[in-house]
Amino acid sequence: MLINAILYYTFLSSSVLICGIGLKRIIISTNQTENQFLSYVKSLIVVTLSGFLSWTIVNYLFIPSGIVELYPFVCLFMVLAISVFCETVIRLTSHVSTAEISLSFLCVLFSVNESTSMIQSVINSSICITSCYLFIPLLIVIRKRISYAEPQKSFSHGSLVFFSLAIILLALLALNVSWLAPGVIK
Amino acid sequence: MKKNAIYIFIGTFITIVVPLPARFAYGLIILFALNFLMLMTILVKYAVSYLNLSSIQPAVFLTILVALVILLKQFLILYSPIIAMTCSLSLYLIAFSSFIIGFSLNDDFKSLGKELLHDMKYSGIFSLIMLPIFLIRDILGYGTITLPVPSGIMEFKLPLWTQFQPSVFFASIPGAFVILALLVAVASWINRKFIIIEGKETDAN
Repeated sequence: MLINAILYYTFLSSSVLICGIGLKRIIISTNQTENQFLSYVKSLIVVTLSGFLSWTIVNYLFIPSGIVELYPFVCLFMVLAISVFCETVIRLTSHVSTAEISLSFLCVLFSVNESTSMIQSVINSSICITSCYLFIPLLIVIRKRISYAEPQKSFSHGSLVFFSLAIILLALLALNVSWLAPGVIK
Repeated sequence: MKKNAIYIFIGTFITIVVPLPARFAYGLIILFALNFLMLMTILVKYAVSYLNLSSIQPAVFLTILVALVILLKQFLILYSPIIAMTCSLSLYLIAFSSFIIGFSLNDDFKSLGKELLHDMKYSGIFSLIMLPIFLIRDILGYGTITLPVPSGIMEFKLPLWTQFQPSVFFASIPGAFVILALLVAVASWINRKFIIIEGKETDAN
């Protein structure tokens, strides 16, 4: 079950490629490769703890009270509180800024939305953020390969990166995309 | 600013197009949401500036942004629960997109009129670019034009296009990436032409 969830949310239904969570940040991150690991560790701690706490509060407090529609507030406050704490610790210890809220918040929101148990919420949130950071080295390699080919200037502003992303997505979902399913092309 | 605007457009394009079905109806709803959130965030920014709350601006801003999305989603549920369910995550994605965050969380607030004119102009241009894209993907992908109605979406079938099935590729996420790649290439090409023309004019002067 666990392996299935990990493989499904990392590759087949990656939050990056299917939901678009963090794609913009990943593309920006390929230009600033310093401290990415630290940023990943911080984000992982933030989303895991936030996912756990948010799911617990929503499940035991908001659902019985009938105010479940307000759950994004819980996710936001958890992410803000834990993120600010982690950011302070990192700045004091390693003098590096890893400030980031949007990606963590969207990952927690996604995981609380998709989960039916506390464990699932924690796993989903950690896989969600991991799948985002897994794409950074992949995109860096793609960008390097593109730069070796010295493309026309019109295609050098990320255009070929998006073509590459389309091909990666087709490869990942090759057996599942609608236009390859039997009966679609008559 | 032009180059920065292109990156903001790319970020928001991904945020809107990737998670949503390639239907014109959803495009209309999500672009309305984008413009609504843009307008409201400018007003919030004005209120924060007026009340001298700049030191806690990000926290106040994010909380109000989430509140606005919850409110918008409730209105959407009242209108059409199916559309609200489909657009659920997308509403949060656009609220935290580079458009809303990038334009609204900068420190300098000139005046309400100038901010409204500046930010809403970009939001309007973006909507005008996105609407034909949604329409084209709907026509190519499904051979229909769709409109939002309380029961979900209403389809107007176009018989000529339904025969060309392989074009359904453009309704998929890889198809959206290909459209984005082509748009970026065209924008970059046009931008370079403008730079060349401006360079020639400077040399002539």
